[in-house]
Amino acid sequence: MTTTGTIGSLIGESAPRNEDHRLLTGDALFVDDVHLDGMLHVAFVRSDYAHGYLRHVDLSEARAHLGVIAVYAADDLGDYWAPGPLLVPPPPIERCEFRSATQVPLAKDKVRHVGEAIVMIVAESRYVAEDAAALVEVHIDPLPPVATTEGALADGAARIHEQFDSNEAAHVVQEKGDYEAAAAGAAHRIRRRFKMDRGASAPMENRGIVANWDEQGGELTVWDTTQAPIPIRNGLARMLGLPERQVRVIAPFIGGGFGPKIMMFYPEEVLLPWAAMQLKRPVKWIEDRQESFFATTQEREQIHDAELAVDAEGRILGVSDSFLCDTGAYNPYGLTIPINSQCTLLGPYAVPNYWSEFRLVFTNKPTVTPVRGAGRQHGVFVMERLLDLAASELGIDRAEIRRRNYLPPDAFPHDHEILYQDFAPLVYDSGNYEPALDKALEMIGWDQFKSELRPAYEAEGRSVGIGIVSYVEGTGVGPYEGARVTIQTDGRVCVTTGVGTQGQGHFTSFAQLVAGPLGVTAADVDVITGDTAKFNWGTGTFASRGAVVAGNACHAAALAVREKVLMTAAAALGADHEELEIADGSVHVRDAPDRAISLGDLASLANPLRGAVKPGTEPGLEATAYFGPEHGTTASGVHAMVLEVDRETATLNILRYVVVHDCGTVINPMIVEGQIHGGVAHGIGNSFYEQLVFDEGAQLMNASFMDYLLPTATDVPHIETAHVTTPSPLNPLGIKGVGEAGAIPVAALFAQALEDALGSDVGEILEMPLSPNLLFKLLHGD
Amino acid sequence: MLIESEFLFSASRERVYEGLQSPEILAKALPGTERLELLEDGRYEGEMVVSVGPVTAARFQVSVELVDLVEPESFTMIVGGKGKLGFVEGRADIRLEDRGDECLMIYRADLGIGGRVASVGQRLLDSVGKAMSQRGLKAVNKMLQ
Repeated sequence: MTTTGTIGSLIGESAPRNEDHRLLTGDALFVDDVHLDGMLHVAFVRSDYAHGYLRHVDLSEARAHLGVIAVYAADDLGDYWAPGPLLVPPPPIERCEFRSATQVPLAKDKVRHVGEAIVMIVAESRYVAEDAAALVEVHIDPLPPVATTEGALADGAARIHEQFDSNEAAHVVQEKGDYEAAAAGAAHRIRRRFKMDRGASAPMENRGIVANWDEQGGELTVWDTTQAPIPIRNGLARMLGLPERQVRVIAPFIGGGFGPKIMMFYPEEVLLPWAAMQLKRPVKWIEDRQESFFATTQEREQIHDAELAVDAEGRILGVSDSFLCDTGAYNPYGLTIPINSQCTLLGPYAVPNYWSEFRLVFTNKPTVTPVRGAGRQHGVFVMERLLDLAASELGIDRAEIRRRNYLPPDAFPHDHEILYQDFAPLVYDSGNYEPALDKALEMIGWDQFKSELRPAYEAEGRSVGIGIVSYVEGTGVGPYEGARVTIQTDGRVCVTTGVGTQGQGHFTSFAQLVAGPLGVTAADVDVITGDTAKFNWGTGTFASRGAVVAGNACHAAALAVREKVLMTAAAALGADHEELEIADGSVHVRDAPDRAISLGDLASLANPLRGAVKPGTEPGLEATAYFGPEHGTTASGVHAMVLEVDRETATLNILRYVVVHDCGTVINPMIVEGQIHGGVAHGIGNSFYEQLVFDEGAQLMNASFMDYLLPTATDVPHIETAHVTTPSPLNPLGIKGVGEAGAIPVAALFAQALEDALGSDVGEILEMPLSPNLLFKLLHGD
Repeated sequence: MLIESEFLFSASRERVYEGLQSPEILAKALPGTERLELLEDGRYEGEMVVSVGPVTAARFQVSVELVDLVEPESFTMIVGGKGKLGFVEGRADIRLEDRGDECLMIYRADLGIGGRVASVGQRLLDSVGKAMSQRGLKAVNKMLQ
């Protein structure tokens, strides 16, 4: 692989993944691989009740148990006990009431969801810790639980946080234009109630923490399955009263993040480091799968009462929406999810008038924070379903009604006149939607399906439907990320960044961005992520922002190093800067390949010996750069599917699945496709398999993979993908995010394709997820 | 979980009513109860071992209280159980009617479980709850002979 005059030319190549060798040979370090001398193990006693007063905790038997080192309840934490931070305060929206109640390290006076931690046991082994946990006597006086979203605001509902006069965590209204005036003259007004639930993130690796306090070195090291090592470091330092230099947080390889691992601070994250310092011994806690269903945040239900007003041609005059959103027992993530729903509902469409109101409510269920898509699914489901209903009422083709309402390519930047979750106005930086629609129609064979395939399927007695939906995704939000690029004396390049990595292929994508300008291959670049001792500044991996924000920082640092390489080489080779070319790991004079020097030798030269240093000399072929976008960049896409339903068994078979997406510049198509495939699989789960089912006591009834259905390999079809590229003007490389895109429109697509397959037998599908059981009931009655 | 059902005892109404006040027979009516003692205050306490689906031999400290006693017509049974894997609580309204020499029990039980046992066993308990209650009453019927 060579680069000559052009730089960044590795962008767009499906370079093989640098990390795969380590992952596939078992050499990648995960938190549970950390074993330290004298390490202790932690188990938690968690609440069996969804709501109740915590009257008394008897720790005496547990403390006396052989092998138990320490047992802590809330009162044992002293001044260290404090509710967690409000991570995202509400954006400055004019009509916004907000009440914040954040999670606590250990429940003190009250328990507010099943699985809330009450007691921490530290013991010589996890077995002993679990045995001792069973010896703790917990006395809870149960209170009536708030078990449903709608029940939260019902008259007489028990108040979960007694300092507030109701369970309403927020009430927000955002508005553009005048919906009522616009709707008054509408040819059609379509009004429905929509419900959409989400589920657990179900990563392959649950959460885990190892903390070690090195008394001699005065350093606390924490291995944590977090998506945000630097903010965790900063927060722990503050809580523990240490300067930041004395805290090192390492987020090593992580088996999937999907959002809940950027929640800060989980009780365990606060408690383990503290216990390590108290006991002066390393401590470890690895979440088990059942714990994960309660102790890791999840995403859940919204109920929308929405109306779409269209003219006689199906052009959108406006949308009105009022929705309820479940935030669970606490709301550390503020309004992120409902604002994402509110904003993403607008989709790729011109919506001149919009009135949107939501109420965020506390319930006695585990805390809700973003899971891949983060509320965008709910908004997309509402808008896409409304358009389907309008198309059917008007007798317009479902693809055509979308085409008629797309923002045209010259409409950008497009200001939606409401605020987005990143506190900036909802402005789409760029987009070009019709080409993606055309491509998807062509790939799925939309016209041919209608004219030839559908009659053929019907003749065979098969129920097969087709669907097509559009969506946008706000990605790549600020504030910033940074990267440091260094050429080492062996000629290898090292790039270090603050973001954590959970399987996104950062070791390859970032390498490609750096390798191009420096004339090496992606395999010549070592990527270091997620260790606060290696890079001091950054925010984290979330909101489909890694490639956009950290990627641009990596590339900028590589360009700065390229300048240093050329300067050093010009002096070494006695040539002009302009005469030099970088390729194959060395610099040579154009048309004189013999006059060359390797990057490794240049790195040695750049570390000057005594006497060679002039004022202003900086050693090393090294540079650090930061990138912070003005606001998020809007990716978009179209998904289409052909779906067969077995009416007898109510099972589904996806015959075709097509994704055409636009994430701006594609760094590595193979990795982008991998992200899309994973997202679609997640979306299939959220459409037909995954649902957290609570009973009237707010007890979760399916906290295991026996009962919580994840789609398996046989449920995920071959996915055909195509790229449309509309570069973002908001960053030098034109990148948009893609991490969540695959998951966002899938439920809306399922609903449409199912209705198409089953016709009037199934009625309108206004609720997601469905399940084999629910679909059976829709088809055959109870 | 709501269980509404009935059971025909081959014993008189008085015999059934009286029998169900005794700890040995009451224990039989609650499947999984290993031990039940009558305390001085009229409550019963004991131990129950429940296996549901993947939960095997979950041990609960159980307490039973019989209230609103109308001899020999009806009473309400309040059950509470606590163990390492969660809790069980519920109440059952029980009515006894003469059917010739026999006695028909009409019962309506509202049972809730919580904690770990609920999170993996509830769905299964829902489907076996009625059968379990009938099994218990069959055993009672045998003892009353």
